[in-house]
Order: sequence, then C-alpha cells, then structure tokens
Amino acid sequence: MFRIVIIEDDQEVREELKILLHNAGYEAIVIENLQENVEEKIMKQDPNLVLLDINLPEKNGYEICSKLRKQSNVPIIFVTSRNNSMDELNGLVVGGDDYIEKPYNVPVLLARIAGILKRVEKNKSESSIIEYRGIQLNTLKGIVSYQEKEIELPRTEFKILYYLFKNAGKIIPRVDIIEYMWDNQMYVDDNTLSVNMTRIREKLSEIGIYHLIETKRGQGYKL
Amino acid sequence: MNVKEYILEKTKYILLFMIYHVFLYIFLLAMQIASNEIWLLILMNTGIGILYMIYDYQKHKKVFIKIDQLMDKLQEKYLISEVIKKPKTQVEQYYYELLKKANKSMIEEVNKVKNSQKEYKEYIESWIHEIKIPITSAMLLCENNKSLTTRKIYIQLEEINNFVEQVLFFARKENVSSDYIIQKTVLNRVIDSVISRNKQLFIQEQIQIHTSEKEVTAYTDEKWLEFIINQILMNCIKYKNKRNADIVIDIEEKEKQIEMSICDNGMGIKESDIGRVFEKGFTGSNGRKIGKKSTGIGLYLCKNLCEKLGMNIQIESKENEYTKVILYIPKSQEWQELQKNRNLTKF
Repeated sequence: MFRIVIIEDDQEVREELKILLHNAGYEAIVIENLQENVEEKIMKQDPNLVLLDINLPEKNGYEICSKLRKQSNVPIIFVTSRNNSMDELNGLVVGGDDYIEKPYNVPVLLARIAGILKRVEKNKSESSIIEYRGIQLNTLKGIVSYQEKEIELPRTEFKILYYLFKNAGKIIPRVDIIEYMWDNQMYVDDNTLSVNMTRIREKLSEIGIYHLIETKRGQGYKL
Repeated sequence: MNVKEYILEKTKYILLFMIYHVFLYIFLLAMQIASNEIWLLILMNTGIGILYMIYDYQKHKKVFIKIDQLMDKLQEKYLISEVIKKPKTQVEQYYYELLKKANKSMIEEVNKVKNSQKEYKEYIESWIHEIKIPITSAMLLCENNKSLTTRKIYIQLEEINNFVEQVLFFARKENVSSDYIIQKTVLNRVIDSVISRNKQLFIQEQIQIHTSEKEVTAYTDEKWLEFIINQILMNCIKYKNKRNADIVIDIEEKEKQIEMSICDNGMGIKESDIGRVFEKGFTGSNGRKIGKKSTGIGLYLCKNLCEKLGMNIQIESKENEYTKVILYIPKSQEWQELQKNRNLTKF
C-alpha cells in the first residue's frame, strides 16, 4: 500500500483528505505539528508521495519542498488555494511534481496521485488485467475474455464495465457511473447509460456470459 | 490657434491702435501738417504694427506646436508640466507654476488611489485563498459522505466557487502582467477540466456535451482560459431551454489562430441585445426572464481578459434557437504578442 503524507494546516481539510485517501486505498499520514523540523518528520514516515500545502503558518510550502529535494526524490504534489500561474511555476521550480488547486476536483486529485505513483513506482504498477468470476478485462486492449472466447468493446462501454469490475460486489448507483464517465471525458447522460448497459449485456451474452450485471431497481447496478 | 483666433484675441490692441491714430491725425492736422505726410506716417506705423503681429503670431504658433508634439510623445499626459520649458513672460510663468502645483497634487491623489486599489486587490486575493479552504473542506465532506443531499450541496459549493473565482479575476483584470504566463496549452485539456469541475451541475441539469477529440494546442494562459470557458458554460446552463439541452464545443485550426466555438441550443439572445452583451452590468431581457439574478459581469470579464491575453471573443445568436460564443486563440507566441498589443492600443 502506498503511503502518502499530508502537510496541511487546516484541520478539517486534512481530516477529510485523510478519509478520502484512505477510501481510495492509500495509507494517509497527517503531520499535525507543523512548527518545526517538518522535513525530518516527513522523511521519517518514508512516504511514497507528499501532498504539500503552500500557505502554512510557519514557513511556506516552497521552502519545505526545496529542503526535501536536497535529501530525497519523493514525489511532491502542491495543493493550494493560490491559483495564479506564477505560483504554479514557482512550485515546479523548487522541485514539485504537480500542482493542484483548491478546491480540488477529487477525481482529478486521485488521478494525478495515481499517475505519479505509477510513473515513480514502475515495478509495482498495477496489472492491466482485472479478473472477476473467471471473466478477464484487458484494460490495454479493451477486450473482455471468458473461457477462450473474447470480444472487443467500444471505449464507452468498456469504461462502464471497468468501473463495475472495480466495484464488484457493491451496489453502484447510476449517478456514480455517470460521474465516473464524465471524469473520463465521456459525457453520457441517463438515457445513454441505459442504452450502453443494454449493449454491454448483449455483447457479453455473445461470449457466453449471462446475468453478470444485476439491476437493482431504484438503486443501481451490481456485479 | 489660427490667424482668426489670434486677431480676435488682439482686437482691443488693434482698436486702441486705430483710435490713437485718429487722435494723432486730428492733432497733427491742427498743427497744420499736410494731410499727405500724416497718411504716410500712419501707413508706416500700420506696416510696423502688422510686421510685429506676424512675428508674434509665428512665435506663439511655434511654441504651441512644440508643446503639442511633446504632449503627443508623452504617455502620461499629466506629466506635461515636467517637460515643457519654463516660459519667460510673467503671466505664462504664473500659469506654469499653477500647472505644476495642480499636477503635483493630482499625482499624489492618483498614487493614493493606486495604493488603496492595490491594497484592496491584495485583500481580495488573500480573502479568496481563505474562503477556498472552507469550500475545499465542505467539498471533501460531501465527497466522503455521498448521498442525494450531499450531491446537492456539492452543486451549490461548485456555484459558490464559481462566484468566488469571478471576484478573483475581476480583482486581477486591472494589472495583469504578473498574474499570467502565456505558454503552449492543450485546449482539449482545459475544456475537459472545466467540464469535470462542474460535472455534477451538468448531470443534474441533464445537459449533453459534445467535444471534439482531436488534440489542439495554442498559446494562452491555462487558468485564465479555464475561467473564461467556465463563464461561458455557466451561461449555457443558466439560459438553457427546458428540454434536450445540449452544448457543442468545437475547435477549428485556422492559419494564425484557433477558433474555439461553444454553441448551445438555449433561449438565445434578442437581436436588439446582442451588441451589448459584453457591456458591464448589462443583463438584457434574458437576465430578467430566467428569474435568477444575473449580474452582467461574466461576459464583460471574459471580453476584458481575452483582450489582455491577445484573444478575441465573438457572440452569435438567434432567439429561441442557439447562442454561439467563439474564442479566437493565438497559435504562435508572436501572434499572441501582436494581438495583445493591438487589443491594448484600442483603449
């Protein structure tokens, strides 16, 4: 599990951020006391990634970042409410890997974290094949395979199925799927989702998969 | 100053000259001097008088031309008293000193206003950073506790955030040079980021969005462009038609610039209103129609920011059919500079 250190002076924000990262499957560590030796405290945690605020009570995030850079190559993402391009440039100059504005768009934040971690920790990268009940999704090729048979799905349909696989076993509200699609630049609405669901079911039955996706009336779908 | 004005100004001297010569004529006649000789004298005097006036006129004219030229070259016109030569005559000197004093007090006044404006801008910026923290934590709270209610709260938070941004950019629009960086920007990414930021709103309002897949780059500031597109999309939502609302965002590459068009099928703009939509505070009949309060700031700000980024913005519409906003974004850095300077000299 990747360990992410959060440096943030607002208590409410850091608590929620911790919960959010935890839900996303990371180990999140909050450093409470930002008065002194912040860099040491960060390094002691041996993090895979640092989320760093810029406006801090004692010193600013840029300083912490440049000090951290002297001793480590740990990826650093600035999260801040300062939002002009100059700030962003400063962040990159002192060695930050990315820069995200507050209030952050949560999926974007998670995507950037995942992206950076994937790049840095190459060898631990997640596999491109997901399996559930003997059905395999190949995320690189966009192919579903089951018992020697396989079928290629269009991008939108594959993304929907991928999201269902990721959340297998849970009831997934329709609106969650729609939001997920929007975060991936596929702007589907309620009707289009229904159409896509029907098509996915048809295509799955072509390779012998029946009743994989259950419809929970008024709640959503379940794999 | 022309000859007529000059003569008009000197009328009383000319009159005095004539009266004097009438008296002189009578006086000399009484002294039994021949009328011919007197006329000769008068003629000579008149000649000298006219010569002097021509000389005097030329001299004044030269001074005026010189001051005009100085004035043209000067960027801050109010500094004119610092650059003109100190005059020689008493009246002129008196006015010269007066002008200097007036300018000095004016400059002090201007500086005071500038400072207070700067202070205000700084205050607004820091206030915005402050307000964004509770917005962030509220949004995170919603995200961590997803339910129907928190989704609705989230949409409200997005709206609050949009308004806050508007204030920020309004504060920034005056002295912008330090607040933006022009660089190669992938336009599709900017569009996607705006849509993703407001996705809950779009989903709730059941708006279809179609974007082009082809990746296009241009020279602009990402954050500013994001703000501009956001304002336009917010308008699309605000003035949408009830059913089957959709928005088409298209990017077309032209020789020198990129044309980005955002077209909705909303209520459109009246022909009589369309010329004024970029005016500050203009709300038009649509603003009144939708019941929600519109501020008349959004498009005004867009236009203003576009000009500073070397971009152009245009709007086309047909009432009850569509509204199409077109952004012209520079494709190269040189073109961006050129457009920017052209835009700035318009004022």
